Amino acid sequence: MPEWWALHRRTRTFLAAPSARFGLVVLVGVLLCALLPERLAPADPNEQQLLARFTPPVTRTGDGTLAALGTDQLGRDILSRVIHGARTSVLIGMSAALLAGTVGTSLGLTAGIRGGMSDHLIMRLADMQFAFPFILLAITVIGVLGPSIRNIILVVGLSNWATYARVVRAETLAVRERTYVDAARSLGLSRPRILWRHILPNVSASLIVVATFGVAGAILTEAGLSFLGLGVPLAIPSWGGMLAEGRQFVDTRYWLALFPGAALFVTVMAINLLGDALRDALDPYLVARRAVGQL
Amino acid sequence: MPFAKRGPWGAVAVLVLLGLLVPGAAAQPKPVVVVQSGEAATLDWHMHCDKNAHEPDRQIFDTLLRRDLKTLKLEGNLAESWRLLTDTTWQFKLRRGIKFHNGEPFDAAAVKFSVERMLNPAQGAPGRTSIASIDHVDVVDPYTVNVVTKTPFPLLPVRMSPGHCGTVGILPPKYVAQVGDAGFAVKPVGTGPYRLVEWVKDERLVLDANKDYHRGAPAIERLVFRPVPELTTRVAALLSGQADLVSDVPPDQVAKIKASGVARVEVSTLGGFVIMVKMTNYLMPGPWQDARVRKAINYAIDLDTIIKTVLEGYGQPLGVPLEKEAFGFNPAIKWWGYDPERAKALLREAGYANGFEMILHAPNRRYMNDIEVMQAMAAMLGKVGIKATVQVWEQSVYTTKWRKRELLPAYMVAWGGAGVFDGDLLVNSLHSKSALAIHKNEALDKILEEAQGTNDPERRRALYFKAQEIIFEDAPIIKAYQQAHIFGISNRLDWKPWIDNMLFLYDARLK
Repeated sequence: MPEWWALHRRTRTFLAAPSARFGLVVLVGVLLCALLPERLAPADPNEQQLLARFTPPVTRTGDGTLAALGTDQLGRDILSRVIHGARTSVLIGMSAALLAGTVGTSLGLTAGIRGGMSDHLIMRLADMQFAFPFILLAITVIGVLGPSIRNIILVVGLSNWATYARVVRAETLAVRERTYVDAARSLGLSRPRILWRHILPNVSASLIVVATFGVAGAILTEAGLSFLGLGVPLAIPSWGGMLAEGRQFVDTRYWLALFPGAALFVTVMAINLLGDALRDALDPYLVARRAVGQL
Repeated sequence: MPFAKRGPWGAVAVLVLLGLLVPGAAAQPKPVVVVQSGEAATLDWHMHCDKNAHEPDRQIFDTLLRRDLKTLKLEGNLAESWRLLTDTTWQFKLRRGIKFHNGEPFDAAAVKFSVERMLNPAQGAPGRTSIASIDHVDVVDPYTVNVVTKTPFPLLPVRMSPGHCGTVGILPPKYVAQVGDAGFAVKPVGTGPYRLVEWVKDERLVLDANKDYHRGAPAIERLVFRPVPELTTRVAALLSGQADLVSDVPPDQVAKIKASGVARVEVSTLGGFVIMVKMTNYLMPGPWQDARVRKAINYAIDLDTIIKTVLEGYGQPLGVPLEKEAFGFNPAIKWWGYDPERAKALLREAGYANGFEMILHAPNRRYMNDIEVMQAMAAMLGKVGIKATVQVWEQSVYTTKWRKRELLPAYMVAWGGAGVFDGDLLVNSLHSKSALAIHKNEALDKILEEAQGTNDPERRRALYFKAQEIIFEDAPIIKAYQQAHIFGISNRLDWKPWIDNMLFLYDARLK
């Protein structure tokens, strides 16, 4: 089967799922918000109108501007803050997943290909990582380094590498015994080249799926940290931070917490649906079964 | 034969039901429940600075003097009278026939023990510095004590009346020796209107009326303090009838309580926290070292709007960082107003036409809507070209950092609200050696020291007036305001707020 045909087929399987299409549409929207918040947001997210605090959704404030999702305790436009908050979430989610993925994949590949002592060492390290309570780590690191986007990416990224390492190691162990790897080895290819050309592409399917869920997890973690006051600085709108601020008013002014919460929920769900669909499309076992069914 | 089938339990149930109908059992009124933000670590009056511990302690213990709620004047309590013998000796005549809850008599030895215990550095009482001018206590006879101070100490009577950790509660010497400090912390005994019945950690602290209280038994039989960390849950407990008293209610909950029909709101401006944002002039180099810049910052802030909106009116701007009821308050001074144009002009004059950056450090829900007040101030500074960012710190970190003077160049803090009502508060908040000060002005330091060293009220008043003039010209703070205290009270409880945000329940009664 030519490669392009496999790709086409997988894309078709992927897009056949309504949940995947939904996820994709939402995600494109979120990405647009993250890339062009200044264009999309009706107002400056930090502009305060103290005299128009707690304007309910779909109401005009004193100066006649429409607050589509209402205003918060300082009279800031919630719609604009939700749109700008997407940038924080996407930036942190993707960067943290990228960091965790890079570290985890490198360590997983090393463990899988070298085996022996390095394998033991890396996997025990991963066990330790899994055993260590994340919030404790986050409080310590953020407490020492101070809250900033960079530090959150570091904390979230470096505490999630173990998942990637485990998956990649398991896949590598299977792939390295394949005949084409033997062939490459007997042709005298260097180990890095074998890793890069032959092993990495063959573990990438699982990696993509893990990374998708990783992004969703990282976005939730960032929101959680911001909710605890360990997140991004106040001047940067973030969904978790908005939730934390709105929590105080949740019984009297629902809109403060509702909209950032909904944005978070829909985004994470979209990514998860996408992840599910990707797994369905990429999982060799499922693909094989489907192929058999089609015959 | 239904009873026979169910065994003895049916009969027990009937007996219990009958028991409920017996008048004596039903007459026991529901205790008055106070919900607090957390639990006390110790109930030893001398050993904490904690609101959640002060509230039960105020009911268990007593002080030599007390404050009349209407006139705010000091009057006798455990002491009948007091007078100044020499410049450094205060004599207290004690009331006779008063007993601690365990039967131990209250006398001069108890006063000497209590004052000197708190004074002993080895004891480690957090309020020690407030009474450090005391040298020792002499027992003249069983009902007369002389408190001897190292230097004139005009604030001594205030330190003998109810306040926060800087005031002396009277403890029973024999009982403390018997149970030790650790034992006393969990089973305290005092002469107050209520005595401790039981303390179940993280659940309830139960106090019963002291029938032998020297001012007459309190009207309420039983008080229960419960820790409920979440504020909205505390308000919910009030509205569902599970609680009778909640303090530090945020403004946005007021309407809900008022509309509930089961509880009401009492607002007290008396003894409210005096809240200010302090700026440094020597601990961190920067534009704020220039008094013109500090004035410009003040001109940039529209405090009236902040109070009207962010605090929903539950506060009042102050001319100087001192409560209006305080001795030595100078009513003539009106703080720098709101005038962004003058702010810009002053910044130009000082050479900062293009503005500058500064960090405003904020506590996390320590004072009413503190983060929002700071954010509003930052936005207003932005309008005159000063790029201010608000840095919020978790409570314990904030306290540690302010003690180390690390919250630079500006941070929000409150002083007052401790029942002191004296210009001496300026010493604690603005004398450069005070633990909370980040500003240095030698002329101010000198005047405040002079005021502390004299017992003459007229001279003290004149010195505090002068001190406030210096503070005004030097502008070491970004405006000051007094926060009101909001209490939620169940309709069955008749109670008025006291001189601060803490509870004093002797006068409370059920309707």
